[in-house]
Amino acid sequence: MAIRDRWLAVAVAACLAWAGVEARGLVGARPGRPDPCAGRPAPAAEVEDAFLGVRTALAAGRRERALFDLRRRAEHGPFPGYAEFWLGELAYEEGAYPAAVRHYRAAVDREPAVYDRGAAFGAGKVVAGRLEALRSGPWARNPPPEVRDLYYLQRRIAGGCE
Amino acid sequence: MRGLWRAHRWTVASGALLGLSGALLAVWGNPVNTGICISCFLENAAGALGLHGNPRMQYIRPELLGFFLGSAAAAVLAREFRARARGPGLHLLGLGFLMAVGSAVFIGCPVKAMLRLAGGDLTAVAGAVGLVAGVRLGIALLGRGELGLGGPERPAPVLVPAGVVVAVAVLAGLAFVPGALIESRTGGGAQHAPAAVSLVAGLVLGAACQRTRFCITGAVRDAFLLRAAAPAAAVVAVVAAAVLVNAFTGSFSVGYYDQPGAHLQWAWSALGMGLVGLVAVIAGGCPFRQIIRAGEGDLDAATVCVGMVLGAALVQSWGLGGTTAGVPPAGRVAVLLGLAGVLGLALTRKERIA
Repeated sequence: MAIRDRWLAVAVAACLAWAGVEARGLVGARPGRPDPCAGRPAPAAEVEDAFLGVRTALAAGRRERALFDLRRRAEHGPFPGYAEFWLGELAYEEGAYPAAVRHYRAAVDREPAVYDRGAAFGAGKVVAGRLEALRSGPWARNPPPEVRDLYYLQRRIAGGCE
Repeated sequence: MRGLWRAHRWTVASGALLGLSGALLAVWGNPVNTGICISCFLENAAGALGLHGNPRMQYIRPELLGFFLGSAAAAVLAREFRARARGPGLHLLGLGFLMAVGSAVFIGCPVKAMLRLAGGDLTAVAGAVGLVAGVRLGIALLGRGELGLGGPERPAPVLVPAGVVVAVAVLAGLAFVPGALIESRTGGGAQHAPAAVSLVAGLVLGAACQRTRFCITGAVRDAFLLRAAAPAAAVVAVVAAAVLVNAFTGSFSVGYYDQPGAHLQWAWSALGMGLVGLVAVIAGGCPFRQIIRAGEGDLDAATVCVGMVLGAALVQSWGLGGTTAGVPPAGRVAVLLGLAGVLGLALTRKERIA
């Protein structure tokens, strides 16, 4: 059964109009071209060395000092993604779960390789465990809006093609 | 009716082999639910050749080269290797480009859509529905005349496809030379089965699918045209075989929110796969089938494949593809313009054959 011209014309016009609406999202959007450096993994040992001071401060109970250092690193680097991961860890320990998930999400946005296999601190495994615990525990009923980020992170950490 | 089932039994067997291999390749190292995916593999290959700069998507997948070389070998042995061409090159290049864009928005080609379903990924249902709808629309548009492959088939110099076979064979050799091509150190591109295993799987599947003419969209198209379930059994066989392997290896996990390499924007999944189904009917086969046909010496399919490589590179460079975060605006616009373009092309055809 061939399609009539008028219906085809309507379909073409609808697609073009819809594309026009969607094209508004392109204004001010980030450039699609990926940052060539963003996906390159930093050697785990190098990252772990860079955060030695933070971990020592945490072990010594100097939490404020560690927080200050992590916030500075999250803003200026180096390794801002890992700084966000540690901020997420601290928020999680305090029971501030929405903030923790926001930091975990910011970590992978800043450094795409932060949760890959072989990355520093085994961050992927740690966060996967936290998210599963949240999903089946405190967020099983009445999850906050950050549950979208939780699902996104679960899909991202699960792997698959990108 | 029994004759129809008998006629399709080897196609069903090759579908089962594809599902089995796809699931096993993921167990052996390929990304989860991505044991075989032509569009993902082409994006990896484009990266390995330096056509885009995403460092997480660069690896020349031996499976891809194996499909082509296995098909070429089977065609030569069966005396079916014929250099031939029909359609206008630029037109075919555009169709290949659109197949790459539609697949990237869904995050996977039709074969991967089946493998995602077999892994329990419920987000792939929208893609499968879109694919079937796209094929049905494509059949309806074919009623207006040839949209992609105008003119009668004509022989072409055999040196051209023979040269392509040699080039792909050289590339397959380079895949085994460390450092010869760009290779991801992390992300999806860094996850792969052992190269030799991948190449052998590709060669066997390429040969089997050349002999049986297996094609996901072709099976769906034939089911519509013949009003029979037998042709579609090959697609069911892909899913069934992969489900069995996933169940045995513990890779089967039914879910919607936390599936790997998926997003939750089901409407865009359906539209992306719909575009692939529509274009595949016009171009004469799904992305996988295009590679197999190119191996047989079909220069039209080879041109579509070049279009797919170009599309795969631009999907990465321009950020058109879907990610686990969703489909970017550029990808949405590309799919809608692609649909408008194909439908507009049909509108310009007045010849009706049905």
